Amino acid sequence: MNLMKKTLALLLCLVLSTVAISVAYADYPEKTVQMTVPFAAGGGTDAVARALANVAEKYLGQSIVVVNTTGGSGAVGLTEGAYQPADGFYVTMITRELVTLPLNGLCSVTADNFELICNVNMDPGMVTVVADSPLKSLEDLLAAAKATPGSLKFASTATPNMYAYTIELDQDIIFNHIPFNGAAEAIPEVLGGHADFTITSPGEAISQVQGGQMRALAVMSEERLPSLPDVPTFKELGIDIVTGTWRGLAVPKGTPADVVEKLRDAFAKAVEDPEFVEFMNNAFLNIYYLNAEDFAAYIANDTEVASAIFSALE
Amino acid sequence: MSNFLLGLQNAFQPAMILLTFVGVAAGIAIGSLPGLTATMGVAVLLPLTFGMDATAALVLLVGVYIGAIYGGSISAILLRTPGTPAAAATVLDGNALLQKGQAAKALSISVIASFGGGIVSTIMLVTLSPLLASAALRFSTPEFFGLAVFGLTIIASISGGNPVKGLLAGCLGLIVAMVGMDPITSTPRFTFGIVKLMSGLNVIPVLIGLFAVSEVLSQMESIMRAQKKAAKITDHKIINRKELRQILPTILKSSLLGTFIGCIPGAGADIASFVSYNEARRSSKHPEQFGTGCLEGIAAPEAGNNGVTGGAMVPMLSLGVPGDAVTAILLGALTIQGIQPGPLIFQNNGPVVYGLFCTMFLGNIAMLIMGLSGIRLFSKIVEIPKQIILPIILALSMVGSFAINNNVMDMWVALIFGVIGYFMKKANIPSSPAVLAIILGPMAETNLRRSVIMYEGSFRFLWTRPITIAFLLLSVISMISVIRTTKRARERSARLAAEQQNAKNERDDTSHGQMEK
Amino acid sequence: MKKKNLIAAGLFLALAVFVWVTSGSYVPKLSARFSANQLANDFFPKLVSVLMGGLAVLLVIQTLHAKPGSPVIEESDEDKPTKKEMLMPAAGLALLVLYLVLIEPLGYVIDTFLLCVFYLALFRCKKWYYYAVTPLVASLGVYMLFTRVFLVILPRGILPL
Repeated sequence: MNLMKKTLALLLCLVLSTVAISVAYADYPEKTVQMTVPFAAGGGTDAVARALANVAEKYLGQSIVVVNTTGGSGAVGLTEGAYQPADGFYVTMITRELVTLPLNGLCSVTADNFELICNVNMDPGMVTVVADSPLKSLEDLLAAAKATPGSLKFASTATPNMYAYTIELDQDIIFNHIPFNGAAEAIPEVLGGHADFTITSPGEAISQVQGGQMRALAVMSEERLPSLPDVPTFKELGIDIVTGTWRGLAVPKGTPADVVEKLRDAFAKAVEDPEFVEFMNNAFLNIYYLNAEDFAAYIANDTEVASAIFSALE
Repeated sequence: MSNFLLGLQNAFQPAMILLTFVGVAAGIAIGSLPGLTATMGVAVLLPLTFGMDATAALVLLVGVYIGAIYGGSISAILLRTPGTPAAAATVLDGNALLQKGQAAKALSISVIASFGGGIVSTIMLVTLSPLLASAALRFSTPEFFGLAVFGLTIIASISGGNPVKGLLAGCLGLIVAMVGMDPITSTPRFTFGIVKLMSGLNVIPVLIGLFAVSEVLSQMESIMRAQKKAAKITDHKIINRKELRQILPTILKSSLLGTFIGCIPGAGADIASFVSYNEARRSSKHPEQFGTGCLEGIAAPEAGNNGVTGGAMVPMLSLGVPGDAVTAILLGALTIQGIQPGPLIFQNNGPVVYGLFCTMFLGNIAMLIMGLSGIRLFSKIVEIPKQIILPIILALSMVGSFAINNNVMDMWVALIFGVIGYFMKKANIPSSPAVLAIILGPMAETNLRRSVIMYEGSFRFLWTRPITIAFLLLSVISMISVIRTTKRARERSARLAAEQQNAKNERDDTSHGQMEK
Repeated sequence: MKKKNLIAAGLFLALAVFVWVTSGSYVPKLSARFSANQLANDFFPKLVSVLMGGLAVLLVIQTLHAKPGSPVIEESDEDKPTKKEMLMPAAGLALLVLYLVLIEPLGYVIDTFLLCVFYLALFRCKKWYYYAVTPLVASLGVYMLFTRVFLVILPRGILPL
């Protein structure tokens, strides 16, 4: 009698569990799409990704979950993204690090491991100093750097810092790069007078510039920014530097063509969605849409530019 | 003034009040689960706030923040596993008090101290923001190095009687923290070609392994014994008025410490809890009681870590720069809402800011209410039979480790450190120093190297900057104080052992004498 | 405790040597540009390994010189586990290793379910309702909590989707 009770009990358990499990999975209609972001939650890349995912859901017809896979200045997330199943349910937000890290041996995947969807955002570099700094213009800054090679303190937001290298090579000067992790760490150093200047994307420093705590000396864009019309471009000042960080989307290579088309279509629409545009404008992030072809060309060009910089530096 | 009233009105609508309670409750739940941290909780709920308006979004996220930092202490006290790294210092005296059967007292101290920390820091936030922000700006890499060194000397005081063993555990933590990409040059260290190790060993799986998994493995030894052991809760009394008055100065001082540490961009609740613990012990009249279930030993870290909640908002609102990892996400949340945190936020979005202040007060009150009323319920966890709770803790530990980075590798890390922690327990080597070292080691190394770069190869910053000098002096004082306390404790126990030996000898003599007669 | 102290000290000393030897094995690419004014990336590891080695030696000295009753070699007065009782954590560990190996193929829910059932069997649990409650709570309950409420992704495994 005891053995029968036990068996009955075990059987009951199994039945209950099977029922419960099937109920759990019953209301899970389609698989969700996973968007991998190689940077931490709360940062610029993360904000763009989340806003885009939020809007793209309705064009894609599936829910999109953002996953932050951080580490290695983006290398870990990018590498993981490249090797995920190529079934269209795994999207990765790729950034300029996909070009710069492999050239330094810090990442084992490149754009060739991905099938591109589109580029979404490009933010030019903006040079800022503290409001009461003796450096009142870009010329002052460059002159100071020339006078004291390797001394002018630059609060660098990432290593390697493409913005700084581009200027240094162009002007034949050397800054003192103090490495920090992102604008959130670099800006207080400048505000507190511990570093002389920093270079970030406009959205990262705009609240301090508009609030009068920092002054923007120049920006690396084609034309002056509508949000900061008083800030000259590098081009205007006679220095032909137009560069910035870019962010786009990609799927692992080998994803079937029709799935890729569907994704390209959906995200192209999402980028134009007024909700997304409003968000980007509010955050002072620049929308810079490139379809897959143009994106590929852009990346190839960027790779050339970056390699040239790195070989010049060695 | 109208902004203030508008903000007040927004925050105190019935829907908002309900949302506050929901947020804090969710935060407490998230914080008490080992593996889920306040940062994760806020990050995970961030997408939910997209559709809400700014005040509601802040109400929810800030509620989670406040609740989670407190929630970590619940599992720290009841299960000897900190629910968040910020509660790692609470484990020491919290669990010791539980072993004495006074779970309710420990839990009540934790929530009251957390409440104190939250309220004090909110008051400082509302009244002294600009002042605190400009003081915090004086911190640069040399000062961070000094703070980290000071924090590391705390290891000696949480070593439970043998600083050498504690320091060894600390060294282990330092090495664990060095695995991965070097913070300055981004080159891999100790990765041996394994890609997953490139990003280093995350502190959470290590924490879960050293505390939760090793604890479960230890408990398995005695699981067949004493199956009918009665629940250890003998005392359902919470803290009484006299004891409350006794720990009030500690709460106040720790709250202020926590607030200021929160103001410093980059220093968060975990650092604040250890620094508060250390300071409370150093300035106490009975330092040797720390670690045995001393009331201040629970109040100090809990007040300190909740003090960060208000403090971290200072740089966020005044400078547009986050004060810790959670406020970094709050910044993102505000940006998505179209609000630019920074010096202009008071002008442009006054009602939102004042709504935030009100939410912080309300959130802390909600936390106090729920924490106190939940004590009975929480205590019951200890009464669950071990056979049920050990597997569940293991499952939660594994999930928690995985959830950080969606990486199975982290689960293996937790397991391996569980084994390491198990053997450390056998050799009486404490685990808390390892955790502290993992958190502070990178801060010390990175800022030392940055300072050397900043000063172009010179070490002058060690003796030319007043704040740095102050921290280094404090470190020295702290170490001396611990060495003195340990020496005194050793002498006392040696004296006791000698007395016991004498008494035993006398007994033997007299009994011999009697026998001879 | 004397023996345990000495073993621990030995292990730490070995770790210190290991760290010293393996640090500084990777030279960064752009180092030429920066190395003049910097601390190399093996400064800290070497410093820590020296510190750890020194502490390990100190522990050995302390242990050998300790008089009986000194806290260095003090044992807690809890009953020490017997050899048989030590099998329990060993078995528990083995189950956990198996669990991790199988987590990706089987998925979280099934793997955790099995883990709990096996643990309860290991603990010689007699009450049948434990077998029903614990695995369900640990597997499904936690799964629901994390994937629906906290919106975190857990390994799916072979379950139909």
